[in-house]
Amino acid sequence: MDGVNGDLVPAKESDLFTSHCAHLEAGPSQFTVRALKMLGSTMLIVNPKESEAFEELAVAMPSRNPATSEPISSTILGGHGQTDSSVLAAKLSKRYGRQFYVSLNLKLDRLVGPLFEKSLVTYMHDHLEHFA
Amino acid sequence: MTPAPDKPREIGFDRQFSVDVNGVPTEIVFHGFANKWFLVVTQLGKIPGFYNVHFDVKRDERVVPYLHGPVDNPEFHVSVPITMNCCLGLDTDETRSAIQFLVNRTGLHKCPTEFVLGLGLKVIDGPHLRALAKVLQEMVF
Repeated sequence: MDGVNGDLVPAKESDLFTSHCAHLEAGPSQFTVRALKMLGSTMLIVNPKESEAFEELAVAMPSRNPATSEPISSTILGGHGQTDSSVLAAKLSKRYGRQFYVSLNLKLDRLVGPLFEKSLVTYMHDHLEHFA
Repeated sequence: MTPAPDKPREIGFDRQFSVDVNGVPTEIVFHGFANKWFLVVTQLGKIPGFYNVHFDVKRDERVVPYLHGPVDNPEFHVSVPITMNCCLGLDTDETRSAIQFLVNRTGLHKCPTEFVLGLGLKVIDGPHLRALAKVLQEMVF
């Protein structure tokens, strides 16, 4: 960042994009959420706190069909069909009415999964300016 | 990137800033994950598509054009061997050429194995790509 010189225009605070990082807890495990808020869409990257990898990526957006409130979703990297990422992206897209990219790289079971979702949704609700 | 003096700006990635590239406002986000790098470069306010780019040779065995010869002479041109997969959005030759150019000209070639790139450029031509490569090289890598 210090190497700005010559005819380079210095970087400035981004008006269009904002980003945020948070460490949350779900029962015994901790996880890291990185969020990038863009124009009309949001990207979430979720990892275990100890090691962050980018394995999966899914996208979901509200349907243009007025007859249905169900969002459409797809896995675009690291998996096929319905994945944890695409399920979460669809839920968030439905809740907030905007496009969500989600990279969920946690191994969730039926015990930790609901705890994780509750922790994430509560945090997003309390810090909505970072997400929607 | 210089934070505002009164209130340090929080960012959630290794790099996240806005910069003018050849007069075009450009958003850049970079983060190095354990298994791959993540880079967004867009002038459209959103991510129009994603490419997953895999290096065909190991990092230490790559011939990096701008370190090894006169890359501006077509006769001696070499490229860093990569394989690109378009995961989302329109897959065009122009975008693929832009990605290959950025890999050849910036620290992207130091990436260990693969990276995910969200690229949204309004204009893809020599002057704009050279300006973008300079910004990436000096402010990200």
